[in-house]
Amino acid sequence: MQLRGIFRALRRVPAEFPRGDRLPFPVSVFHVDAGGCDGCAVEIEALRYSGYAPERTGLKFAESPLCTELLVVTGVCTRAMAPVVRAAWEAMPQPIGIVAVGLCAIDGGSFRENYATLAGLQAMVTPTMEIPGCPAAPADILAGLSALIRGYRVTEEVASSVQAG
Amino acid sequence: MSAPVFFPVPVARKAGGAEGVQALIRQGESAEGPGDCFRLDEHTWKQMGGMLADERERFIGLWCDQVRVLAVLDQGTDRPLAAALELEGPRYPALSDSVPAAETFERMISDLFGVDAMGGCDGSVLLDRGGWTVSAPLSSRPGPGGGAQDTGGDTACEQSVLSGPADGVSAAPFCLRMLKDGLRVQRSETLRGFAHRGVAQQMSGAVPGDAVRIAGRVCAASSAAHQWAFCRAAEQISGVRPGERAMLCRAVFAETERCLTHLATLSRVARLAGSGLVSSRLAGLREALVQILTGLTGSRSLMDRIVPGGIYLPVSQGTAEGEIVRAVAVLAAEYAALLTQTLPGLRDLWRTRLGPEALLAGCGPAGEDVCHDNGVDGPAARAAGRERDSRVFLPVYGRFRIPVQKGGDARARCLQYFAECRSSGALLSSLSGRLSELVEDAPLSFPGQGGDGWGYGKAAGPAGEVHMVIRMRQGRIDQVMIRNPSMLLIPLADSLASGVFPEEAALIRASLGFSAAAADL
Repeated sequence: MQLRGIFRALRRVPAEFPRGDRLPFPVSVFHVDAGGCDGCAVEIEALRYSGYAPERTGLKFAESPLCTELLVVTGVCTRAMAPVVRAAWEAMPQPIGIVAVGLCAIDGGSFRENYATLAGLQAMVTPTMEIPGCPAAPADILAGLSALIRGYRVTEEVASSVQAG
Repeated sequence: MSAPVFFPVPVARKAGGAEGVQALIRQGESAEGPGDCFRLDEHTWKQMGGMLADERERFIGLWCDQVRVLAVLDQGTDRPLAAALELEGPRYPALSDSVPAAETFERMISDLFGVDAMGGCDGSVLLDRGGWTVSAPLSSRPGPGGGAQDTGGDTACEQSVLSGPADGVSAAPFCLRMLKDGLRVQRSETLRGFAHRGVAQQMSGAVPGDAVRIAGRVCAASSAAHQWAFCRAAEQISGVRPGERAMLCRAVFAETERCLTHLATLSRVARLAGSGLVSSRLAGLREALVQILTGLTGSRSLMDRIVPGGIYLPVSQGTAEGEIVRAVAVLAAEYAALLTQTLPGLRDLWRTRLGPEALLAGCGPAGEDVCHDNGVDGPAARAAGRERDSRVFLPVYGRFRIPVQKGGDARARCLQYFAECRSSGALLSSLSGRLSELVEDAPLSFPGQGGDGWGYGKAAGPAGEVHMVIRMRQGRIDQVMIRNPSMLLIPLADSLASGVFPEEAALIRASLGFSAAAADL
């Protein structure tokens, strides 16, 4: 918690996250693949590098959870990755949410709970937002994250593919 | 208790090669198992290991079925040759001292079944990072789990660099530990198991139609290859032979996947090599191809497209099979057209931009011998000049030339990916034409696959051959054994990283195009 306080002070993040269209700075996103088939991770990669330009909507992917505000999780959440997801969350100074991307991250999808998997994030936490799909499409991921950081103002098009948690 | 003493067994190296191995195995008593299976005693098993050293490329995999260890070899047909060793305790003689490719399987068997390979090259944990609810989960008597979590950090020291399993890179998780000697990497080790989902257990008890969904989700980058290999194994048991149209559609899906995966790999390599322009152009082409796929199949991936007995496309009720075939033919034609139009330009851009070409030349050379010794096939081996590809044995592909390169370094691997994309484009064009001309033969899918027994199937995935051995009982999956190229490319990446700069090590890993998700199962 002390670490979180230090980062909060350094970033001067307002206590209440703004709910307007204009953001004071790009929202940093940290992506963790919690062990899946790699399909949703590839779609996140496509979102970052295939011309979707998430920066234009105020999203910036980071290489460390420190100084990031949004945690995006893909994959079925294996038991080996559960502490890693938790550690990433704890390292974020002022997290605004955890987003489950893809059916596996939501409830395990085709994988059931067993000795090695938790079958989705639900076993650990209630995600702030769930973006379904197998795999989830980059456009849906972008629309969902963008809606989340703008205060859940989900448009009708987005609502059809995104379920706000 | 005194330490056990192992006596070396004389091995017949270079005494008969593969024929010798085959003859030796066939001396055993016939047993239940995949293909032609024979029971060996421990002495003969050790002899087999020694003789395999001369024909390592025949080695497919090593698996366990709780009471036996099975070594499966390729004998050039649809039926593999299997050697079975009855387990008399929690140990068996290792094969990895003569066949390096066996090491991964021995470590997997140790983690999943609690059975150790005596005299193996590496007895360390491969998959169990300590978070499992039980230990040896696939054995008949699993032990207590919940050991300490191991994320690789415990053994980190001043000279070692640790990265992963969550480092912001959008890829399946693994941990990379590099021991440095000055600025260069002295030793690199990939800590795996973070993506292990227990695929074998997930498939166990399922009917083939459900199990193939899991097979397609072993790894998204080689989803069609895993589905195809699984279906060939299931069809070998049921005796069902899909019609020609279904086989052509399967080949279209496989080539589609090859292009998508190779372009993703090339884009990653270009990004790591500092050429953002080339990377984004390659990623853009991949995205355009994915959009075509989405438009025609309704999904961005190739999951759930190949099913036992045929193929599946989500279409509205009442859609004629002819329309499905036409959609697949259009998919193949559009891919072929776009690849023909854009690949030469991208290839020129790759060559003229100093970044990729200059950095990749001489980086991580894996020559023909290295690939042979490590059991590596696919584009990594073809980049070193090994002209091997199981597609040439499939009648559905017809005759085509296998592109190969020389050198086997990261540059050759990338050129190989370009060449294979071009080759796939030509194949897709041909497949599209044949699909359009083909008159209706058999239904696109035969439902109700069942049967009892063992089946074996393989398919040429983007990174190499995917092998599946399945055993069915009363129409349900009882045992699944999988080998995919990532299992062997990861150890190769670790060995190639010795003596290079960390940045070069990253390029080598990217150029090999493996997936931790596939390797971990």
